[in-house]
Formats: sequence, C-alpha cells, structure tokens
Amino acid sequence: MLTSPLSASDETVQSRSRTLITIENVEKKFVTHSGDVVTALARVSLDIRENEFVSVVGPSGCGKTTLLRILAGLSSVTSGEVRFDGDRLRGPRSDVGIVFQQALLLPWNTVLDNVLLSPHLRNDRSEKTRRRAEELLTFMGLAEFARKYPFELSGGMQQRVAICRALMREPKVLLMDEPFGALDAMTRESLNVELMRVCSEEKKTVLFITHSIPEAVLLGDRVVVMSPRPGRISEIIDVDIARPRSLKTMANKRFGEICDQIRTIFGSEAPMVTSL
Amino acid sequence: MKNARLNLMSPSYQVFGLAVVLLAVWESICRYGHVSPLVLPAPSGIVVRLYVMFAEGAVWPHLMVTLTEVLIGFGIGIASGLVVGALVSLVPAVEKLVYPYLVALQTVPKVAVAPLLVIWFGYGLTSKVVITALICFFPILVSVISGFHATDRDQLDMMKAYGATTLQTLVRLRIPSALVLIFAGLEIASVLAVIGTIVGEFVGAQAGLGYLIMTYNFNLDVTGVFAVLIILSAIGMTLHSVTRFAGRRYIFWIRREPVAVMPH
Repeated sequence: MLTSPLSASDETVQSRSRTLITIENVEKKFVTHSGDVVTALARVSLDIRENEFVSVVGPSGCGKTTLLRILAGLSSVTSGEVRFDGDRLRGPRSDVGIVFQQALLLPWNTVLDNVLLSPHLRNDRSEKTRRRAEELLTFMGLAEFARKYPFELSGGMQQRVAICRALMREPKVLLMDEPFGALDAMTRESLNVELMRVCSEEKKTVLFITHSIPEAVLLGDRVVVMSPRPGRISEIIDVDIARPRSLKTMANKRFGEICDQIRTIFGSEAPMVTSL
Repeated sequence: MKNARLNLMSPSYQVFGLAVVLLAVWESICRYGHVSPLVLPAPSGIVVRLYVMFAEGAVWPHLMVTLTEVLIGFGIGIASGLVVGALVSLVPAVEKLVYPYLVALQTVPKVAVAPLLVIWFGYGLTSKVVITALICFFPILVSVISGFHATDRDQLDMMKAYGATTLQTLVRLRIPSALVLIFAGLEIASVLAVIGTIVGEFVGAQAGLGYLIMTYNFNLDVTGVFAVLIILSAIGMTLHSVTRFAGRRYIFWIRREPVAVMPH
C-alpha cells in the first residue's frame, strides 16, 4: 500500500505552524585536556516549528548531543544564538522537558515521586498535580508501578517513567537524547509507538536524537542528518509519510526510500570520516 | 529435602564446619599434645572461663566501661567525620585550605599518639573516647568526600535541566547518592572503634577490657586473655553488624555490596 507523498496533514504542520525554536549559526568549541580545540558544532542553523517532530541522526561525534545540551540550557554556545519563541536562550527553561539516554531516575524515590520531580522542585505538592502524575503513569501503562522503586522496573519501564517525568513539566518542547538507545529492539519499537501516541494526544514540539535511521524516519516530520568533524548539518529531509504512522509504516515503500536516501548521505561522507 | 541438602553445601555452613574442625584440632592439641595452658589454653577452658567471668560478675564493670568508650568515641567520630567531610566536599575554599592538613594528620599513626592523648586527657574515659573518635574520623571523612565526588554527572545535568537549585540538588541528589559510600566508611569505622578504645586502655587505664587483658597478661593468665579477646571480637562484630544492617535498610536501592573504601 502506497501512501501519497506530501499528504494533507503534513502540509498543515509544515506550512501553517510558526517557528518555535531558532538555532542560528551556532558554533561550539571545546578545549580538550591536551589543549587542542575541538569544534563540536560548526555554524549550525535550524528552525523548529511548533508541534513539529524533528529527528536528528548522525554518527557519534557529529555534535548531536552537544546540540541538544545547548537547547536544554546545559551547555553554552561559543558563537551564534538560540531563540525560543523569540527569546534568547540563557539557561534551562521551565517549558522544556528532557529525556536522556539513561532514564536517570532517582533510585531512592518511588516511581510516582520521580514523575513528580518537577512539581516538587517548585514546592507544588497539590492533590491535583499528584492526580495528573498518576494519569500520566496510567497513560504509559505504569499505573500499578507508582509505588515501586526504579530498581524494580525494567529498562523500558524506567524510560517510560522518565518520559512521564518530562511530560509532567507540561513542556512545549520535548528534547530527547537517544532515549531508547540502551533498550532492546522490541522494547524500542513499542516505545516508538507509545511516543507517537503521546505526541498525537499532547501537542508537543520534539527534537529527537537517535543513531537509528529507521527510528528517525518513523518518528520525524523532518530528519536532520548531521556529520562529524566538525559537527554540522549535511541535509534536512522531509518525511512525507502521512500520520498516524505505526510499525507497519516501516514496510512502506516511501519509508524505505527515505531511509536509503539518508544512508546515501552517510555513505558519500564515509571516506572523510575514516580518513580522520 | 533437596533444599536442606543444598543448604548444607552453602558457604555459611562450610564456614561453620571449618570452625568446628579447627576448634577440634585446637582442643586435641591442647589435651593430647602436652601444650602448657600458659602458652595456649584449650577452647573448652576458655569457654568455662567466659562463663565464670560473667556468672561471677567480675567482667561486667570492665565491659560497661569499654562499651561506653567505644560508643561515645564512635558517635563523636561519625559526627565530626560527617561535618568535616561535608564542609570539605561542599565548600571549595575549605577543601583547598584544610584537606592537605587532614591528609598529613591521617599519616600520623593514631596508636603512636595514644600515649600523648592519655597525658592530655587523663587515665579516665575522655582519653579513650578521643582516641576512638580520631581513629573513626578518617575513614568516615574519606567516605563522605568520595561519596560527594561520586555523584553521577548525568544526574547532576538532569537536576540542572529540571531547574533544581543548588540546595535542592544537594538534598535530593548529592546527599542520598553519597550515602552509599558513607555507609561503607561507617562499616570500617565500626571495626576500628573497638581497636581505638583498646589501644587507649592499653596505654593507660584503670578499668575496661583492655585494662583487663593487660592485668591477665601480667599474671600469665592466658586463658583470661583469650576470654576477653572473645568478648572484644563479639563487641566488634555486633557493632559492625548493626552498622551494616542500618546501611542496608537505609540504602535499600543498592542491592549489591557497597564498595568498600579503605581508610588508608
């Protein structure tokens, strides 16, 4: 079954939404222990529209995590600037939720308390907030684990809790740094499906970093392809496959074409990577 | 049935079995090997002696003195180790200024300082408490410092990204994650506490189990010395088990053995 390219729903997302995040000529340099200057990001520019799902793929060392850390307010830029809604980014923002590669739950807190981290840090201990956290856990199929501790949960469940914790901030923007990278393939696929469900129910703008091309294509409205040394954007590819998507989408012809297109980009740059 | 068989093969049974064998060998050497009880008393003799000591009550006052010294010294060692360790870890200025001195102090053998402390603090309880506290202080200090250094960097980033203040990060992340190593330090200190008190009592005391050992030793009462040694290791083991138990209850999220931090 063929899905028509450039379906109606994608048109609306891409043409009518306004730009939420502007990344403009962002450059990031590190000084290593031996004193060498490493350019992690070289003049990266990218506009992310509201409610858009942007996947970022690239080999390790392409600066994708650096880019996410800058957007999270955890890392400063060497030059250039990042604007959220027109405001220059100066540090961690309250309307941004982050999910890291590791779940990074606090092991001494219950699942529920982990999800409530953000409200607790704001001294919000209201009944209403707690109910919202329980709703999120139920939505993620974790209702009966609210009183358990993270070590009693599998890796996939822990990552679901981490997603709930991020959503608890009621974020406009969700930053995800290879959130499913440490999980087995089956768990990963089911979490991909769940993430699509979350994003369809709660309007979110997502920047999703991964090293899996199929994952990037399945989830993204656009796929940003990055290449290393120095980290930069080689190409931005529109994923013109209609939503809702499912794991079946991966059997779609267009899906395969887009994946191939991305692989070709990596392939053409491979000699450069190996030479370094 | 199968389970019972398996249990007999379990390490704890094997350890116990080894103890029985060793005691039997020891007992027979003493009985049939013509070893003078002045050199090596038989286990049975030691057990009888222990019974007499407790039944007649002669050992109780000494036991109480030593226990008091151990517990107060351990307590002060914990409190000061925690406070200084927290200051050194959390206030960079203190770390730069004080840490070299702490390391220098640590290299001085506490046992060698004991006579001096007895001169300063007298033959009574105070000098033993000070020695015990000093000996307990360093492993706890080191464990607190390494505990705070061991905070996971990614977790720190996570807290920062979630907008936690420095104080919130301390209370919600750094202190709980430091506890794992702090309890390892407490375990080491709990064993050292008894050593500290006994050293103090050896150097100069009028009561206590260390004093009792010295007295028995002068009288060539080796059986008595052995009996007191058993009481001492019982105190040490109890203190260690209580600390370990408290640690396991408190840091329930670590199910593997906490990493041991050696004080030296």
